[in-house]
Amino acid sequence: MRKFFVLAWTLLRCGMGNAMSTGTGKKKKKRNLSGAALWLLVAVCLLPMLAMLFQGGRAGYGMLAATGQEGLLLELICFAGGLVTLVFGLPYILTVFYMSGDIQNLLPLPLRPAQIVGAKFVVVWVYEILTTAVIFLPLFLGFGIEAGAGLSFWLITLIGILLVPAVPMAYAALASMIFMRLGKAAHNKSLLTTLGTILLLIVAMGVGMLSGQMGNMDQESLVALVLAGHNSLVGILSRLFPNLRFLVAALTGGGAWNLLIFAGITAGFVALFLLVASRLYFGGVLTMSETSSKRQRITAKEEEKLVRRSGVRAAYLKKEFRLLFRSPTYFLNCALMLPIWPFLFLVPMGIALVMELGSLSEVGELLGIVRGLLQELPSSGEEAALVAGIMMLSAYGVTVFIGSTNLICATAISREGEGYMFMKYIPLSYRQQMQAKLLSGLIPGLLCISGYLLVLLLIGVALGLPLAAALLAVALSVALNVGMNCFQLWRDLCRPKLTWENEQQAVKQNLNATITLFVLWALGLGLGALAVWLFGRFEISPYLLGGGLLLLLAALDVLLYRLLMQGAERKIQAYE
Amino acid sequence: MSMIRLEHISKTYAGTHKAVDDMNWEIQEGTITGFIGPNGAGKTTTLKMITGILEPDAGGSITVNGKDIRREPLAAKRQFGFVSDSPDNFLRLKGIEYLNFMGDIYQVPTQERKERIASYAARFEMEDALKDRILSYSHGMRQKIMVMGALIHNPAIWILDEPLTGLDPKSAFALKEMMREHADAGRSVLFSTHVLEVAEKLCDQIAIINRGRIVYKGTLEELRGQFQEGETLEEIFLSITKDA
Ligand SMILES: Nc1ncnc2c1ncn2[C@@H]1O[C@H](COP(=O)(O)OP(=O)(O)OP(=O)(O)O)[C@@H](O)[C@H]1O
Ligand SMILES: [Mg+2]
Repeated sequence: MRKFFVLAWTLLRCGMGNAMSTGTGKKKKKRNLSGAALWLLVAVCLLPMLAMLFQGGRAGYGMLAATGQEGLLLELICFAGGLVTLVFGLPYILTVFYMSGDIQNLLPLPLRPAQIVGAKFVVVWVYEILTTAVIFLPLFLGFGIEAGAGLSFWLITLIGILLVPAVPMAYAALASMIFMRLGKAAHNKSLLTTLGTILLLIVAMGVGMLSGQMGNMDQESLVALVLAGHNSLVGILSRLFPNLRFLVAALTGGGAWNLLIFAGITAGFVALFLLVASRLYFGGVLTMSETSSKRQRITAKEEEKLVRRSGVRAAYLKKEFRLLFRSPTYFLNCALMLPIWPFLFLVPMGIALVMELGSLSEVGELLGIVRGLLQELPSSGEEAALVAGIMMLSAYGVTVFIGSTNLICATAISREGEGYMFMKYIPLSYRQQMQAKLLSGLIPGLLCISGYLLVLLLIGVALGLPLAAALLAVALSVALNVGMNCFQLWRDLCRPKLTWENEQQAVKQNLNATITLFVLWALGLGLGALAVWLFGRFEISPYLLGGGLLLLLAALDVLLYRLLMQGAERKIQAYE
Repeated sequence: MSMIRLEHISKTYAGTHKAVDDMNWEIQEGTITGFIGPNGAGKTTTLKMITGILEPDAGGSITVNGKDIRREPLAAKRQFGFVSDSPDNFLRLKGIEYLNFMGDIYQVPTQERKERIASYAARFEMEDALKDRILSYSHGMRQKIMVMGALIHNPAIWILDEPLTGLDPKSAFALKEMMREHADAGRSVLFSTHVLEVAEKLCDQIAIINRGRIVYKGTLEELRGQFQEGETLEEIFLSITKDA
């Protein structure tokens, strides 16, 4: 047992301990400061959400207590918590169990399989507790304060937060283990991992949509849904998480034995999981590091294709792309959102539309109506201005949000790791290398953000939207993309994280990714809000505003690019 | 003419630890120079300064084939091929993709590229591996592909950090043979090693480094002459690098 705790503690420390460290070890003080500033920023961003949840808990209690149904709310919160764990836990489980690459080091140690699996489970558990607590605590606080709950309520809440993630996590872990076990024979392991994650994301999206549907219902149908029991969603959920009913019972004053049953069922699940997982896990994980090899000679014809001369920057860019897209860790963490974002929005919207309207022909009718409406749009006047403004604003918003998840540039130098030496001994100037790295993030960004936007907007134009606004919107997106990538690369250039043990740490525990994300959001929101305010306050034409914004962004682009190029020589020279 | 020249080169890590201390060194053309010293003596640090990876402390100068590494970095970097002691870059590239990439970086014409790849692959017995990802290579194979990549532009100077560790006897022999041919063609090779027999058999010149200072440079015969008849190279080495 002691070994198990030591192992779990070590894994936890390795996984999270250096999450906050970047840079090469100089300037300790400054780092702490910016670290603190970052946490402050995160807290500020989270606060409104926490307040909303808190209010939700209070209002929910007020609403339901009148009819004596307040237990329903707790039940819903618990189920929501379980679902959140299931969805958010999946990627983390894949990471900790399959992509951390430490299994080769753990196996030679005198540990039993269950101890290794258990320790990894604990690591995910701790992380999940932190995630669920963000949702649970404010809701329960609101509920409990409104209900004037006593000490036992708070105690049980605490126990609940600690134990609720266990069962959904066990499911998620088993699902991924089965998936990985089935894919054991696959030749291209990295492709398998990538596809698996995308599949899981789609599943998670479906689950998220269903719960979104639940959230849209009014009070009565919600109550009816919960009361309907067996066939409803909640019925399914309560069978999926059989322990939660007892937690709710304990919370609503059903007696301490309910809590015992809850804990007992949870423990049973964990024990069962350990039993199954310690058999299932190692079969799949051990082949993760294997790569297929053919051991074949290159034929003369292949050589013609493989050995071919290209320019230095093009060659460097090709290398960047290959290293990025062939590593699932890099691809999933840095670029995944880019190709799939329209589908993440459009598919759920489409499904929701069909569900709402009942049949496909009705959707067709609706589209016809929309089209009619669009074609009747006045070509001038206030409404036309509003439409043009909305088009540009959406393109702007999408580019800011999706573009900030494009972490290719934000980790471009960190990903070199110890291999940064290569950058320094080849006869290629640091500027040229930075240009290639910039393109490695900019090209996917332009293709997958501005490109998709162009297609979407052109469809809109065919339906009757103004062409000029569409073009201006795409131009804004392009200018934004350039600036954002320059900024991200510049940040990574200034303080890259060059010391890491595995690829996971290079991108996931990289502060540059987080910092650029928040800074870009803050700047993007600020600039966007300013434009909207100007539009509303002075009724400036959206074309004028968009054009002005475009000029401003273009000027920023030039500035950031020059900053990057000037920094390149000095900063890279100083790496050691 | 000297191919590599170091004048008053020092390197201080983290402000306090002096890893290389006022080094003056010239490496002649047409020679194989062995760089020998105990662990932590400063071999890797020196080679990294010569190749421009590390910046020496202010005051000294390094020239590679007549080009100052600080004043004309790109011209200087074209003069050598370098293999570092941790060849774990580019694992997700295929062997042939890596070699072609290096060919592009050093702007080697296609025909020359093909010829060199074919000849190196044959000598290192890597023909069957080039189509696979470097990730699937063994340690020695990774070492060999890195050497092939570093030599693809036929550089005047080879700088190799512990190139022979991990190579099987046949590949080690091939590499040593290639070094000899290179030196005999009037170019030069500088490599670090721990294996004294290699230095003994292969090197025209040796430099022994201890605690950041070169404690001996010259030929092996001269070194032997300074010691008693019958003492092995190992004994000589141990007495030179003794903590005194
Ligand atoms: N990045 C670094 N930061 C601080 N000190 C370092 C760093 N790299 C090396 N050193 C120190 O510099 C000294 C020389 O190290 P170097 O790597 O040059 O030795 P070496 O001769 O190559 O040894 P080996 O035979 O083990 O490869 C050592 O004392 C080492 O601790
Ligand atoms: Mg060394």
